[in-house]
Amino acid sequence: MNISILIVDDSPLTQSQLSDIFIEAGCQIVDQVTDGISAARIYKKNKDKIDLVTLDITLPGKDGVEVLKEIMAFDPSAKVIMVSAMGKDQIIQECLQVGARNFITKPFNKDKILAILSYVTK
Amino acid sequence: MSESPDDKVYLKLFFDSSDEFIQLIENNLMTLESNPTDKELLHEVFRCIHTIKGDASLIGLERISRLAHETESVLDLIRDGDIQITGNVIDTMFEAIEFLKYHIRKESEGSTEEIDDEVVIEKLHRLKQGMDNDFTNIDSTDNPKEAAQIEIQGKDLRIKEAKVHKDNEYRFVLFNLDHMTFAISINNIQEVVDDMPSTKVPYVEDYIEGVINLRGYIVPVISLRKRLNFVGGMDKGGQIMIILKDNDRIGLKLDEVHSVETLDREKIHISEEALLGLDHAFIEGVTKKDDRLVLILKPDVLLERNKLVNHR
Repeated sequence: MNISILIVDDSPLTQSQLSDIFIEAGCQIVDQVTDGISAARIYKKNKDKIDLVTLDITLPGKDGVEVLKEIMAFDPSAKVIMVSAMGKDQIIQECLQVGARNFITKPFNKDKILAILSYVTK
Repeated sequence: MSESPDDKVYLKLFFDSSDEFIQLIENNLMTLESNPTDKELLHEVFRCIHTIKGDASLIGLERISRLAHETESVLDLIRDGDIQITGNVIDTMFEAIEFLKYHIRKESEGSTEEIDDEVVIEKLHRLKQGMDNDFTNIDSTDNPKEAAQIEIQGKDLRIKEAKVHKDNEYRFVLFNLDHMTFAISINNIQEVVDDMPSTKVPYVEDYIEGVINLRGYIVPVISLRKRLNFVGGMDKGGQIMIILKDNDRIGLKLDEVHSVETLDREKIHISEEALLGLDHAFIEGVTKKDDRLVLILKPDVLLERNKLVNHR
């Protein structure tokens, strides 16, 4: 899969697992950031180089829902997948309404991630 | 992610990062104790524990994930304003974090030692049920919600404050059903209204009387008499106690509220004879107030939300 991905997650472990899965699948990692403020800034700066964002919901600074809103306002065609350890239903709903393409909950596995990836980027 | 050569790398990442997250949690909890209204501090504690929970689940450390989850759900209720930050709450948080540290150290050392964290999980559950709060930090002038104000229609029983003197004393609303006196913690109660006609709902349990419209909220109403399997007698159509549970409102039909009392939790006992054949599951215990036998109800069990919602 020739896709360029921005990973946003405050957990080094999750970042590492996601990037390993993506790289093994032939994707490029544009950047990995741990906080919401940098995430929105980096997306705006590199919009054309980013095909997909995986966005954690619970982040320092600015939470994932706020970042999602900012990204979608800036680029309504942005492809964003939310990632979280079990979300409250209403937060998931809100993200999907705002424009998130899909949702990954932890614990995830490689197959689940790749299935969502191919679905979202086709 | 099993049997991958990356497992060791992932484990190390988890141990290193969770050490940092725990450090952050401890520092923020300490500051939070003196700044209980600081939302950012609270969010930061929540975020760190949430991340530990998710990470632990990713590498199959279920016990750590579970304890982090239990801790997180208390923090979630604090964020929603359903639990107030008291010394007791902070202490329980610190205790949970200590156990998390034991668990993480145990895993990182590859030890097979068994860690029993049920005590702290039980304490977290009690906090979630609004049970383990001391109200010593509550100041009714700061936050009206904290003051546990409820209005009881038709009676002058307005509770101005929930300040009590000892850690184990709690405010309860006492009410009658037939000849018996029951009590429910005031933390669970939104208000008490006079009985009103309800709309019947088909295909629900017998004890669900119907739904009422309370200022725009559709509230299911339960007949306490039927719920407790009282034999004979009829609902006198007195009052409906509105209980807040997981942001939902549920009404409990009862004869009449008669007072708000402070009860000492230490003096609440489980006694077979006093339960008079009532289902244990609904009763937390029995205590005495002015020579009157008072049965303390567990609103959580009484309301079992799934049963209500699934059949609606």
